[in-house]
Amino acid sequence: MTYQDMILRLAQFWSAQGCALLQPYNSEVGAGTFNPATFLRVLGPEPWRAAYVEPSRRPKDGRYGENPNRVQQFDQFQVVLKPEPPDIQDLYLASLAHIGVDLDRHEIRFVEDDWESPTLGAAGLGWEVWLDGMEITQFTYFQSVGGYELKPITAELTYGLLRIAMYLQGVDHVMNLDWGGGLTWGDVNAAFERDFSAFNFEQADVALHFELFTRFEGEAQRLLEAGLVAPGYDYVIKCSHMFNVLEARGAISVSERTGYITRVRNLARRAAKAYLAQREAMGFPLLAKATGGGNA
Amino acid sequence: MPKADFLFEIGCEEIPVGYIEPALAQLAGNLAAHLDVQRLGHGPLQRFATARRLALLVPALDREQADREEELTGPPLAAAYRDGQPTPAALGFARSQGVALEALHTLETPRGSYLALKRRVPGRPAAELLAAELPGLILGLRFPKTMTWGDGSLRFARPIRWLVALLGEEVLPLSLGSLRAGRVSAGRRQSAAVAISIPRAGDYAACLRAAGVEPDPRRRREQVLAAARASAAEQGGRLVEDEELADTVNYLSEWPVALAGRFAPAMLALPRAVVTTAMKAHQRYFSVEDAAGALAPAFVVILNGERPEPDELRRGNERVLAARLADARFYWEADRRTGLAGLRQRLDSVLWIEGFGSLGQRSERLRVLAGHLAAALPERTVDHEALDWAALHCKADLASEMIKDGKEFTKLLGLMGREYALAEGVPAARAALLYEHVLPRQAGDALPATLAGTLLALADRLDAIVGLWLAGFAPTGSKDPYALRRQALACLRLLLEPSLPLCLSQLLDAALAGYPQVSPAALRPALLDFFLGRFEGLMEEAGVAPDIFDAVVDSGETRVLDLQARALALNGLRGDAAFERLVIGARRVGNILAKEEVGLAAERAQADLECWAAGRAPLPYGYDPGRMVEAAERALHAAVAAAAPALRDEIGERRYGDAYRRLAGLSASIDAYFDGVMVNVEDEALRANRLAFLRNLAQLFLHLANFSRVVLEGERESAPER
Repeated sequence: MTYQDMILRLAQFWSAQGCALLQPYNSEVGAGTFNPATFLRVLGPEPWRAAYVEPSRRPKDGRYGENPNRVQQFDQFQVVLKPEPPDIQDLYLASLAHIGVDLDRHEIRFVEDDWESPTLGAAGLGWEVWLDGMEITQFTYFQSVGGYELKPITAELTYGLLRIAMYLQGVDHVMNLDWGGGLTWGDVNAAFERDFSAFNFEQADVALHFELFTRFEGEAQRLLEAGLVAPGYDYVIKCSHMFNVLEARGAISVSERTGYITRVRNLARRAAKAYLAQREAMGFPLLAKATGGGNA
Repeated sequence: MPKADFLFEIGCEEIPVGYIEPALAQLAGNLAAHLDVQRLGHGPLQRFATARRLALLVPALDREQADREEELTGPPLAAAYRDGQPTPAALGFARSQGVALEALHTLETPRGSYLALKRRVPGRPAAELLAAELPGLILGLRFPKTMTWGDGSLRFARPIRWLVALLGEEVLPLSLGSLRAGRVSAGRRQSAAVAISIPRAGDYAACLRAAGVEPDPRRRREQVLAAARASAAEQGGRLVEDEELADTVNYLSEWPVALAGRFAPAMLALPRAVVTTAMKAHQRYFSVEDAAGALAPAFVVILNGERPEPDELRRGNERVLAARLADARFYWEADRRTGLAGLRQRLDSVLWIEGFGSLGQRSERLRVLAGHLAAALPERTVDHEALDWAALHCKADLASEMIKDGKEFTKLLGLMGREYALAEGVPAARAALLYEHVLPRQAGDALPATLAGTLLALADRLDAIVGLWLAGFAPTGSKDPYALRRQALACLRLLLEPSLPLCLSQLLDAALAGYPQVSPAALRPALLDFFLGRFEGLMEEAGVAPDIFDAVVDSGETRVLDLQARALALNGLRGDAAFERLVIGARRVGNILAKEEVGLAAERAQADLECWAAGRAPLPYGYDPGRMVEAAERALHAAVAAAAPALRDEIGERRYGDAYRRLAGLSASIDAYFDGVMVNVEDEALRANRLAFLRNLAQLFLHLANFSRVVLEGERESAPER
């Protein structure tokens, strides 16, 4: 099965479970959790079911395209279900079967994992899901986000698409993955990996990024105070990405690190607060639409 | 009484391994306690658990409580009748119980006569009682962390997805949130979810086994080890037995089956601990040895149930391990190129704690402190040069790629330092110190084998405790982010088990000397209290009663070795006739003196004993033996002087049990003294001489313990009520 077919099948599976299929967020994020379709939507009483691919940037993980398993931009498949259906684990296993994992021949394990995102002020409990000893999914019940305790609870499934595809295709190097359309993953991404690794580790303008961090921070604060939730949160995401680039670039010392993370977290809290206030003012419209499973 | 087996099972999504057994024990304890309170007889509880289920079987449970008679007390008789007529209080009581006034009788109590009613209370059915109690029992289980799910109405370790509750053949009307108990349990996770219907409570284990789930943790653990051993043998090797790993794996599989895999023999060039850690810490694989005990390029993984064709699964596991070993080799080679000296240099730019300098500076403090500790033990042989070298290099591996990875290899802290040193040709005895300094890492862990290793381990913890305390990380309540309590306990083990006669207050002063920004006097009392608090816990585990510990610590002694020996000796004496004689004798001497008259100059006692032994009056409370006029007075003085030489030796050799018995032997003379001698006489010189003698004697007792803190049998009960 090609990489693109696998993504299509996952999307198809979760679409049939009543998820809205969304698109990736059009700004650099470190994980699908940053996408407002997760970070903001898990807050408050409204139900929500969505699935989307998120190309996620982790500047530190770049290896110039040389490491078989590590790249600075990789795709996650993100599913958020709020509240989760009681048979969520079985559904997850069925989704694996749907992309060709024969569960009688393979071993799936749910290994405890307490997930935490210091930058988002978010925490949850759940598992790393292992396929034959390899971590393929992060399965988390969000407990708090942006400093707010959540009710109802959202289950977040984050599939590591590259790992799963490499395993299913029996490929040892990410560059050799069969993407589909006659291309490999390397055909599509090798030059990007090389260039972005050079950018992240060698070329990124440190002064510029520090300045951008501070200016983006100010803009996020200003916009959130003005009640402009989506644009305000957009700048929170940008701040987080500036921090990730600066960290990869080795420009942030150990002692400064905590301070920057705290600044992003404070912004994320403001965004959460502004979002909740806005939804409440709107009368939590999705509550009225909810009649059971799915978004409507 | 009709009986039936009772079963209930809490079905969950995978509970963290470490939570399961403690939860099961709580559940069994709480259910048994509930059954006792409800007077429901039953056979011994059977416990079952996997990661997805906690279950209890109560064999032969009474189906109903026995009826019982109950007596209800009403108003006092005096208030029940006025002029021979029932008062509203009496009528109201009868009415509230739904009986006529004539049904009541008079109950005589020590507090007077009351109106009372006797009635028979019919027993309630077990099913009803259990259905009411179980939700509270389930949700009352304590876990290190809990979570909510779905609508957020329930809280547990992981989501609860089903409940089975059967009394005999009947389903108990139990509900929890929106869940209702039934008779259907879930089978192992696989492509087709299996439902297991349980006809009768007693069939639980058999039904699960038939469906490929072994619910009994002990049997399953045997299955894990048997399968793993067989698999290792099939590969021509021998399983590296690992109890901890077996405990973990036991809860990762509901039906353990072993699968063998292999890795590239070239990886065996890595230190053995690196290879086994890559296998165990993350992947939970067992290691395999050859007949000579060398690591084989093979592993055993425990699967959850049989697989028809496991080749793909094997290859998958092999690939994951190969990637981890490749990472390890990458780190190993990079660190070898940097070298131990290079790693040590990196420490200068690694922050230890905000405001408390780098790890390089910490290493320098360790050199000074370790040297100081060695100097405090002049009679013991320590390789000072090796100790100094080790203090300087012991933190170097913190800067290594292997440890910086931040994942499973961080467990190899200390050990990696040793391996890098050995690889560079550092003599083994010296390299070993780098590993020894991290010991003991947790309760029950090994201690350093050498004195130098012990001193370095002590220095490391003392410095960390003082620094972290100063940085605001002193433990409070349940918060102890840097595990200072565990580190203090480690210090105590490091002092006690190798019998180091070091003094706690001096150790703390030496560690405080590394932090010139604080005055030792400001921090010492709090730190000393902290250590003594840990020590008390340790002694309590050894069976020492709190009053004994208090009495011993109140002697002012701070050598933990001596405190331990005294606490154990005095505690061991309790129950013996000598114990009471000792305590009462000491108190008779002390009682006549005001507390402040006897200082806590414990370190003086040995010198005092020398004086006693030589027939001289010890300082500071000089007296004149020649002025002792009463026979009882002279007899007690002679008894003390006669006991002194042996006492001196017993205390010097820490034979405190003998010392306490010897002091107890003075009790007859003490009694005779107080029966026959008037201390506070008119003659001022005579009185002063007697008081001075008694002060010296009190000082001698106090040196060994403050006996006024010991609680004698019967004292607790007679203590005045507050």
